[in-house]
Amino acid sequence: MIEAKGLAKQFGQRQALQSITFAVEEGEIYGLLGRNGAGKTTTVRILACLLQPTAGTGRVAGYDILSQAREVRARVGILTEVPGLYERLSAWEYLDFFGEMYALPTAARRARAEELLRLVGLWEVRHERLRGFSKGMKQKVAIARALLHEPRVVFFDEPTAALDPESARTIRDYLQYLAEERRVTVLLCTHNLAEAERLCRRLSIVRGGRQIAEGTPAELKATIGQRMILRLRESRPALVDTLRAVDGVEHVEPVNGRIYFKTSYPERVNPRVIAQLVAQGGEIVTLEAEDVQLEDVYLAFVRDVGD
Amino acid sequence: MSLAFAVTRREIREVLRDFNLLMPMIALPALIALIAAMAIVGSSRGPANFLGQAVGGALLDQVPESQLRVLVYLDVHDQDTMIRVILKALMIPLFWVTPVALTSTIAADSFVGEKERNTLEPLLATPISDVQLFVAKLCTAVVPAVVGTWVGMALFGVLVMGGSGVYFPKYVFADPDWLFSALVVVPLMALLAAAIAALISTRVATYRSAYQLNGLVALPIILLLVPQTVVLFLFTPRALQFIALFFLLVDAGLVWLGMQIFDRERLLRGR
Repeated sequence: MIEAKGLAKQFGQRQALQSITFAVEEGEIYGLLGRNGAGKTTTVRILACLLQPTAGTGRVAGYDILSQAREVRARVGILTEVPGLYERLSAWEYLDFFGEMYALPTAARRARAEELLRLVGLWEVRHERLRGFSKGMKQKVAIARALLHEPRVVFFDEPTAALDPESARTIRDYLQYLAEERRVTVLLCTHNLAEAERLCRRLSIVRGGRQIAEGTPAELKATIGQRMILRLRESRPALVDTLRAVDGVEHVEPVNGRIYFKTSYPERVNPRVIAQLVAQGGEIVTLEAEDVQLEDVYLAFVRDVGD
Repeated sequence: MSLAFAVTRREIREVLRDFNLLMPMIALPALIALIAAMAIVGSSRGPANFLGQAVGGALLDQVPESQLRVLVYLDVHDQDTMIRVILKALMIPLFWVTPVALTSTIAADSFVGEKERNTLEPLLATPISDVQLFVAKLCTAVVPAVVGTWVGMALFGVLVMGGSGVYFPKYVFADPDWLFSALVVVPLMALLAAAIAALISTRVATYRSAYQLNGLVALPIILLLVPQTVVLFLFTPRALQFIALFFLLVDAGLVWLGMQIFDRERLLRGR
C-alpha cells in the first residue's frame, strides 16, 4: 500500500533524506522513529505528494507519487506536526470545507463530520470558533480532518502528542480499529515509543536523513542484544571471570549482588553460561532476561550510529 | 474549478470575520466616496471663480501651442467642457486606489498569512491543483476588493445624486466612462495588485513583510497612474480603454508568471 524506494531529498546544500526504502502492507501500522529533524516529516511529505524527491520513487494506494500525485492526494489523509486550523471557522465549518475539498457529497460529508466529531468528543462545541479551542481540542479536529474522506492511507505525525491520556487512548484504539477492521494503512511518526511499540507491526528508525534500522519491535530489540540478570548464591570474582570468558557473553557488570551481561543469542549462550558456572562450583539462584523496551533500542541506535 | 470556488468561499468567509481585514474594506471605500462627493458638491456651485480661472489659465499657458493642438477632442476655449472632463479625469482614478489597497491587504493574508499560520500544508495535501489554488487565492484577493470598491462607488453615486451641479451628471453610472471604469478597470487594477502579491508571496515568509512589500508596489502604481490618467483624458476620449488594455496585458503577463512559479514545494518551504 505504501512503497518507498531509495527516496532522497536535498534542500539547497543540505541532504535531508538519503535512500529511504520501506514497504507497508494494507492494514498495517508502520512506525517511523527518529529525533526532530531526522527526516520523518520529509519522508511523509514526499509520500503525501507535498514535496518531490530528489531521487527515488514511491507508490501510495497503488499510485505513483511522481506521475499520479493528484490520485495519491485524494486517497491519503495527513496529520501534520501542527494542527494548522482555520481559526476563524468553527469545527463544523472547517470539516465541511475539507469535505468539499475531497469532493464528498454534502450529505456524506456532514454524516462523516458528525461521526468523527462525536468520536473525538467535540460534537457539542462544533459551532464554536476554533480560535477558542485548547491545544488538545485542535489536535482532535485535525485528526478528524485527516480521516474525514475515509482515506486508504493515513500519515500521522505525532497524533497523540497534545492529547490527554483518555483522548490519546481513544485515538490509538481508533487507529487500531482502522487498520484491523477497515484495512487502512497507517504511517505513524512518533516520539512516543510505548505507543509505537503498542501500535506498530514494524518500524524504521531514521537518523540524519538515513534509515538506520527496520524491523518488528522484537527484531529491533534482538539487534541490540538481550540483557540478562544473573543471581548467584555467592558472587566470587572467579565466577565473574568465568562468565566473561564464555563465548557470546558481552558487557559483564556486577551490581549489588547481581551480575548483568548482554548476549545477542540468549537461547544458545545461556545454557553454556549455566554449564560453565556450575562446573566452577557456582550456585545459580536465578537467570532471567531483562525486559527490553523499545526506548532502549531507539536510544542505542540514535546514539551509536554516526551521521 | 469547484475546488477553487470552495477555497475562495472559505477564505472570503474568514476575511469577513477578521476585523483587521474587514475594517479597511468598509472604511477606505467610504472615505474615498466622501472625498470625491465633497469635490463634486464643491464644483456644483457654478462657473469657476476668478481664482479658478486664473489657475486654469496659468496651467494651459504652460502647455506649448503645438501640444495644445493635440487635445483634439477638447475645445480649450469651452471652459465648461474642460472642467467636466478634468473633474471626471480626477474622480475616476481616485476610485482605483481602493482595489489596489484592499487587494494588497487581503492578498498578503491569503498568500502569506496562511503559510505563517501553518494552515497551508493540510490544504496542499488535498487534490487541489496548483493552478486551482492560485486562481482561488487571486479570486480571494480580488473579489472583496472589487465589491468594496463598487460599494464605495455606489455610495459616491448616491451622494452626488443630491449634490451634482452643472459639471457633473446626476446619475454618475449613466456615464459610459464611469461604468467602464467600475466594470473593467477596477477588476483589472485589483488583479494587478493580487498578481504582484502572489509573486511577492513566493519570496517572503511573514504576513508583515508581504504587506509592506505589497504596499511598496501599490504606492507607485497609484502615484503614477492618477496623474497619467488625468493627462491621457485630455488627449483622448478613449483614455480608459487604453488604460484597460495596458492593464490587461500586464495582468496576463503577471498571472502567467505567477502560475509558473506557484508550486506546492515553493509554498511549503516558504521561499
